[in-house]
Amino acid sequence: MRFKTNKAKLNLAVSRLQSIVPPKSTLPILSNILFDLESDQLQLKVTDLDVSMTSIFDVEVLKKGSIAVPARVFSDIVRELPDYELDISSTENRMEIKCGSGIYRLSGFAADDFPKLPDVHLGRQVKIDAAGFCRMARKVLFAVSKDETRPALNGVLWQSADSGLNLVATDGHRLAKMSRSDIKFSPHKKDIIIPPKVLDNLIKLVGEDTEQMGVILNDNSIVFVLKDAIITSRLLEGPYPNYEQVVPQDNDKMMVVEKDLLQAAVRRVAILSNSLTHQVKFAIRENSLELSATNFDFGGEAKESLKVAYNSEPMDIGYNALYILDVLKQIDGEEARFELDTPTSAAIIRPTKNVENESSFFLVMPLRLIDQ
Amino acid sequence: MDISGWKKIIMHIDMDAFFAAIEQAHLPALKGKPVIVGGTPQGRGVVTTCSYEARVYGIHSAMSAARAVKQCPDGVFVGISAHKYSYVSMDILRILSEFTPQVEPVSIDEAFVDISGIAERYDSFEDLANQIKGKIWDAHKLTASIGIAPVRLIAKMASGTNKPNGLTIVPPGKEKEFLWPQPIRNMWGIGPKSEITFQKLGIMTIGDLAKFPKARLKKHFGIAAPGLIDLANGEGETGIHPGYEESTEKSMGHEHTFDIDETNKLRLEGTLLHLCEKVARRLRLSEYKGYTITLKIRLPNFQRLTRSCSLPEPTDSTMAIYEIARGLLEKHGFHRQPIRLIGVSVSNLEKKQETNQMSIFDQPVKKAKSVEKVLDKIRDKFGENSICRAGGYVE
Repeated sequence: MRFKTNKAKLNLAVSRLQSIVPPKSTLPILSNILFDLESDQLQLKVTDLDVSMTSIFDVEVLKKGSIAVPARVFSDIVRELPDYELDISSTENRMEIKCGSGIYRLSGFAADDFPKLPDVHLGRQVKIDAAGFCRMARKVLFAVSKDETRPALNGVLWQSADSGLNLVATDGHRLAKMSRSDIKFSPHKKDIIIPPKVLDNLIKLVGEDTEQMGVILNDNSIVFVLKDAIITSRLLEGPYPNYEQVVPQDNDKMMVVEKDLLQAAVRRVAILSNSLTHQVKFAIRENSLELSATNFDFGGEAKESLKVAYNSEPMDIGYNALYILDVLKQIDGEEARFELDTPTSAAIIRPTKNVENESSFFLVMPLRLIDQ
Repeated sequence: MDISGWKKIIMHIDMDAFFAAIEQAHLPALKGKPVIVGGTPQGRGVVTTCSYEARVYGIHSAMSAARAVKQCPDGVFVGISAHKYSYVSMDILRILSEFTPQVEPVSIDEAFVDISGIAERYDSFEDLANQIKGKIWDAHKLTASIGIAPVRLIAKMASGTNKPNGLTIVPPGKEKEFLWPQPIRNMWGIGPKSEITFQKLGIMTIGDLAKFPKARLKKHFGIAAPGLIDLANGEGETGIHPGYEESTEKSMGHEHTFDIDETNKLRLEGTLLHLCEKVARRLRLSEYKGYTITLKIRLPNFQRLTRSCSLPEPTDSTMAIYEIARGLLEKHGFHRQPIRLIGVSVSNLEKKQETNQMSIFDQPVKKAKSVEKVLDKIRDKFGENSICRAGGYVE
């Protein structure tokens, strides 16, 4: 194998692949990048057996062939090289990188040792709005559970229906849901659960200018097809809990707050909250909200008052400050609306104005208020 | 008695030929006979301990049974009854704690007792020592040797100088007189290997060590050197760590070694469930929860593999721990090869704290918790093995 390319292009591709490479694995071959130059384009492939990614780009092909080399070392070398043309070749199981006056050689493995990545049938792809989809994914990813005792919650639920596409994530304490009516995925009307790793990587790949991407749904995998990359991921096994059942439909006590003011106040008050529960008390009165927290470790107390729009009965509710901050970060626009019922039932938080074709809400469970 | 001049008074109690003496006490026919605990008269195994009558023949612990038979053909071999010894050991600790709660068990047959607070009430150290010895004798027909000194090391060495049924007191100011003439080998923590190194340096007695330059000793014993010289000068630890002091647990784990290397996945998982149940039960009993679950595997070639997984919230639930441990087993494909040992541990522990965070999907968690509560109640009442999960496999 031998090809020429420029450093910047290769460096970008390799650094994007790097986050798929498992940091430690019982299968040593997985810490390698496969260089596949069997066609006119160079394909760089990595996999952790769950998520696989192929980066495709044009190079000056001098000799076809393939080799797998340690991803970390290769990426470290390319990153440090000056911005010249690179001449990369392989013989037997060794790779040589020439750049200016520098020569770097490293040992690798035969391409046959590298796990075969799943075949991608490009003909079956459905085009969807890439930036729109990534925006949805970005807004729900924070709520994905890291608790491995409930594997289904470790992923993002994808629900495609005639009305559009929903993405949902929850860790059992909060839940995020994004819907778009303009993203339709008609061939499959089923629910699937996507591991967050593939979405994280997809978001990094999709730039502002990416208009469309292809999506292929197989029985137990999903494939995202971009201009210069293909990411495949195994799907998580369900069933996803029936979240619709727990989303309250008749929370009729509305509190509208200025988002930035609330965010800043919660952040300040939370400094003196209990370091385990992060409990901040929301004392809601007519058109006012008082936030307070106490921390016995420091003998600390904090209080802040805000003007809000509220005209139902007074209520004291406890929330984990971090959960509230996570949600406020995802709310567009200047105002957030809290839809409440009782101090021990779920709150729905949503923007007061929706972006066109889009609707979203976030659910946060309260803390039972205890003196601490 | 007058204890002015003593800053701390540490007593070390060492039971005489503990296992052999218990056997003799429980079976009077063995009295006066050379009793050898551990090994067989056919010459298999090793000697764990032996009675003083057998020591006359030069028998000592860790000697091969074959040699013991040769040296002492009349020796009476008895098997080891671990439960019996630990029962007696626990009861002796109880007797000691009748005198003072400042009791620190060191091993099954020895303990440190801080008597600084109680010594004044007795006529003399002999009086106190005799009362302790008397109570142990009345309850178990066993003798003990006692050392009393201002520091732990000297008390420990003192109890060993006059065995059996001895009492050696090293009052403050007499430490050097006691320590210095003794061969270096007698010092606590000095084994045959260090002894050779010391001898090469010309250090034959503890006195030689006391006078040795610290800097030179450092070349041979590293950072331990200054401490060793301090010990030789009679300066050392004086504190007692009573058993009742809450030790902060770092991790809890259980493991199982298979008689035959295990290849059956179902049996592996069953064993794992059984171990998880034991770990989780211990966590719940001691009111701990842990964040990190570690699966440990030993292969037939003794290679040790461990894999861990950390949770966002701590757990003490059997099924939660099991699901993680089984997931690790599966994920890393360990079950595709024969396994010699499997173990699970939970670390990163914290005292249980009921969370007030409410949950969206409370039902399944509540259900699992109530099952565990019922299992715990049954075990509290009828014993650990009274009930087990159908999937739990005990070899």
